Amino acid sequence: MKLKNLHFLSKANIRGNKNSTVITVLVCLLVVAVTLVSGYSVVTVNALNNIKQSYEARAMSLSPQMGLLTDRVRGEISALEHVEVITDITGIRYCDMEIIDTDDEYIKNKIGKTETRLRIQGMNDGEQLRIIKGKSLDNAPVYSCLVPSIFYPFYDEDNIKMENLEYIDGRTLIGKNITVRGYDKKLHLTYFSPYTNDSGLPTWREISVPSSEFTLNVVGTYYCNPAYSGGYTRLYVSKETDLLITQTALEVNYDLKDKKDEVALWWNDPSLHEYLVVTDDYRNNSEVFNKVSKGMGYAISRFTEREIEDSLIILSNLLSKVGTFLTVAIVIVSVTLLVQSSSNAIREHKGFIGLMKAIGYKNRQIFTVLLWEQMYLSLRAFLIGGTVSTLAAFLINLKFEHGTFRQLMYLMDWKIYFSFLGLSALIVLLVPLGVELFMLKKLMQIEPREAMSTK
Amino acid sequence: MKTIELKNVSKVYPNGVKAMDNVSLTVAQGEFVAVMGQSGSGKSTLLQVMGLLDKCTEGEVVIGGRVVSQLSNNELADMRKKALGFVFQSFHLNAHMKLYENIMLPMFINDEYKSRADMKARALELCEKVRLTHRVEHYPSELSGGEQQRVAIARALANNPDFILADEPTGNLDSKNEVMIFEELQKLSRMGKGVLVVCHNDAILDYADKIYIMKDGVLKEKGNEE
Repeated sequence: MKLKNLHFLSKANIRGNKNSTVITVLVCLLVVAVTLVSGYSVVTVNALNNIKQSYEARAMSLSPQMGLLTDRVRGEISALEHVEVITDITGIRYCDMEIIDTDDEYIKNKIGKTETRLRIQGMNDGEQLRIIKGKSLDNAPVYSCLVPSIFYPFYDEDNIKMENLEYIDGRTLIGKNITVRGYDKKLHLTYFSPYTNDSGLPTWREISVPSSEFTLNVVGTYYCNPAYSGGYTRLYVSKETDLLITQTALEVNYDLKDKKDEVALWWNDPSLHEYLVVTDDYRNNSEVFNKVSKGMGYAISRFTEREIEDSLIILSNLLSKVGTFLTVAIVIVSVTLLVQSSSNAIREHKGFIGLMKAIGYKNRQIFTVLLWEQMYLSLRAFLIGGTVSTLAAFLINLKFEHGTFRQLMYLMDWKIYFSFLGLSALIVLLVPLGVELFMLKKLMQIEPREAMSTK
Repeated sequence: MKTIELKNVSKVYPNGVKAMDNVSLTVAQGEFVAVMGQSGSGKSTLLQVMGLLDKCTEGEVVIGGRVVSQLSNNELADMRKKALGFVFQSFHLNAHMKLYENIMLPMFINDEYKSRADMKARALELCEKVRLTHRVEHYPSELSGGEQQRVAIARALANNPDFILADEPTGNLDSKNEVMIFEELQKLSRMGKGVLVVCHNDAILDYADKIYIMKDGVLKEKGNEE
């Protein structure tokens, strides 16, 4: 039988299918539930897991505020269970920087009209970034840098509100140069003075040193997790570059006057430096924190800016649980209805099927008509549901792609989305096929003489 | 001239009931044959066996000189498609297809029709034959019982079969419409179709060329019952 005749017959049967509207609505809901609800659930859970297991979520800062961090002390801490590494973070990581010049036209055009602001951070020991384009800093020359995948180095109202940010795709900057210096031509550094306070402990101090300009060459782009606040302004350089910039600022540019000696003492004494204590899993942070602070009496603190907000975890759990429940419920109801509709198509039309057999239709032809009817019904609903959910995901992405960091977390990953769309297509198409195959025996049992029944 | 024949056919159901007992019957093209009998007499079984809707337990069914009683299900389906047209008491029209589309139903599996336009042209031709040209775009629910049965007759003629087999074609109709249906069937026999009608309606006596009576599975020509 030709496909167009098959389609014609199936469509006529669909018009007579009492459940066709309900099936269409439910299959649409199934597609939306499987793609959107599950998709967003996976996207947010992935983003959170990514943060939870990230280097920064496992890191806590350790300062000499409560006691010198001598080699022995650092050795004892690094020997604690669940401590992966202790790394020196002395450098310019907390200094606000501004862009002086660049060969990127877009940024260059904004310089002078908008304030620029970014941070530069040296790579920590054991820290791995996900390079999405270009190369890592391993073996890269000094003054090489990595830019975030979403980059917004401007200090404006949008940045303060973290809304409607016109992110720069970090991949477009590879190979370009960015010349920066400390904001207001200064580097604001903090340090611990070896000259003790009343309690006999090192004292926390600040200095502002004139910043020289230095040009960084972009060698790669790292994945910037949207759930990190402020990540979009952070450039990474090698530890060597970080120390070189700091040392240059301290040694060359400034008359440190009376502070020169204590700054030099701090610079050269690792027991006065600040460190990151990195655990093997973010869930072990508390245990290590308690051992170091309460057990050993040293000043350790969480990177609160990197911590995951409770609201995010609650929302993620909610999405995950409600999403799973909703999806499973809708899938069960839709599949049940599809099964019912497919089996009813044979049970309720015994007379007409008998007639088809009487006038010469073979079992396989009738099977094909009934299967096509169910497939067409499911496929039509799938297309409607798929279009609605794809459009919804597209619009959500459109709205959020320049949104706040939290909103960026809800950007649909199209790979995940299309995987779920494929999964829903499989459910929607395989269920009728399975049911029709299951009902094939019943179909074959219908005799042509059923046409003589009076029903 | 082609014939459809039952030769010493018996049919015993698995429960032991003997619905046909050594029945022989020939319907030739151009003949209008009626088989009458009470409910349970075996006349419907006769039509089923003759129309290849069921198999006999003994004897032979011969259509156009070919013994068909032992053919496979698919071969039987092919034979029904090409040689036989059926009219049933229940019209079995698809409520969601227009009149002419219902007539096209058997054509969908007939490779002789190259296009949908060919099918429609043939369906309209058949509509004219059963005097329903003015109703071609209507759905079955918009037609009277008599009109629906005429659609069923037109559908039976779709693939131009040699024989028309009708099971109680007037069972659901009033007397005015039953006359009209018998006239249609008679007209078909005059056009060269072999027509076999199974019913218990005496009105057919005025139209059929041959009348048979079926009683307890035994078939006898009217007048020779005892």
